[in-house]
Amino acid sequence: MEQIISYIQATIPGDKPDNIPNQDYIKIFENDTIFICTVSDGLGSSRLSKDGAALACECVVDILKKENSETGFNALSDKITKKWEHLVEQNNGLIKDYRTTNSFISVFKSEKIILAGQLGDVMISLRIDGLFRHFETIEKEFSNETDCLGSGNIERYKIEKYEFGHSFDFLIATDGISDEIDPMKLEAFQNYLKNKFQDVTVEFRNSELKSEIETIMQDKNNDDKSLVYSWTNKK
Amino acid sequence: MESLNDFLIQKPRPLPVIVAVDRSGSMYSNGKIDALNIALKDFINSLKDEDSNKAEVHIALFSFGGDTATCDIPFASINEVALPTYQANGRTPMGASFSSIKTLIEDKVQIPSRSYKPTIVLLTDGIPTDDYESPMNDLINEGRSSKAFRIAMAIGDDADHNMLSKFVSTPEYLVTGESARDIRKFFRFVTMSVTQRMKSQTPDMLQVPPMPDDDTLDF
Repeated sequence: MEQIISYIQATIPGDKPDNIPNQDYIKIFENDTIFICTVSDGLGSSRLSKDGAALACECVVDILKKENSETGFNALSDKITKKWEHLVEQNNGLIKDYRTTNSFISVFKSEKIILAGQLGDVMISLRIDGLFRHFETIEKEFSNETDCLGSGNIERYKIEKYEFGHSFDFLIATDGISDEIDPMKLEAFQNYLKNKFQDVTVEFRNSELKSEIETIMQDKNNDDKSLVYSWTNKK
Repeated sequence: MESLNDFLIQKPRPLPVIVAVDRSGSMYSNGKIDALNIALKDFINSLKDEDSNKAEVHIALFSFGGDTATCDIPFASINEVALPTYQANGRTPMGASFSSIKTLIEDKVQIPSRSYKPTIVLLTDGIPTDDYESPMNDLINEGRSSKAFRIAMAIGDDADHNMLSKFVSTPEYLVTGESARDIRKFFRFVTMSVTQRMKSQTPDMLQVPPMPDDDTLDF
């Protein structure tokens, strides 16, 4: 049975001076064989992290759309990190100025495989065939403390592979949102998003999500806030 | 009708402030212990007056004196704390305080990862009388506690300035004082540092406020 993949996305800048841009970035790609969703959160302390965040998402999509679901995790991680570093160097940039976190979900449609990858604290939460599979977010010490691309340490994505049968839904959110979600209500939050937004006309979904985040979450912290939620329906 | 708000943690992110103060016998001289009791009260009240929906100060208070270190205020919201009144006596078992602070910061149940980085505040007029080096090194170099900001005050010439200079996060965070009056000044400096973080766009960046002028103090 074939699935239709739907998604909503929104990103809003945090409460900060006007000359500091939104350093989050979202990229979604879909063709007949693959659906890729990736979210980056550029580090506020890095001068060009907005560009670093965008480059990370571009790298993830470029690489994943050429890979198959059998690619080794370490090899995949190395490809992404090396390509990202290469693109930064092509910009004549210093790696430390472009530091960013990044997470991704890649759905291989015909194989019914999901690859989830995370470098840093962009949260991933997955539900596959009705079973909630909280992707174990890399433990961070404190708010705004995270591993990242460009950290100067050995950077490796945490990657997990899942098979799915009839359905999945997932949430990817930067820490401006994920740090505020009650972990005990995460599954209920996914239910809320699906129930609410599947009934909203497609062209209004993202603006409605953005409006809700702005209204309810803008004052919670100063961080940029980005969220993607995706779900399947039977065709 | 449900909304996004129903799934959020309803409290602001905790901003931990962990205070360790000296109540050894030498703190009795020149009214230091009395000044400390007053300064702590002002400090807590000042922080209670700060209102932010982005950060809520949580505080723990440790002291060292007599034969041991004690936890006098377990980690709690600033609005829930009741201060003890200290009496000065005994030795300076500072190392035991370092161990207790380390244990607290490493505990992710008490200080969850959504918290901002803790600030550790240390005030002393003497030299540690217990084995402090290993606990201090663990506190400032190992694990989660190594990320905390560390501020200290050395009161008088008998304080171990060399040890305290190693303890603090940055040289500007070592404050030296000569008298009881300087204790209140120090806690105003700490208050300004914490409130700057609460109001900052980047609460996890180092904030070094100017030291308050003497003439702003109200005795």
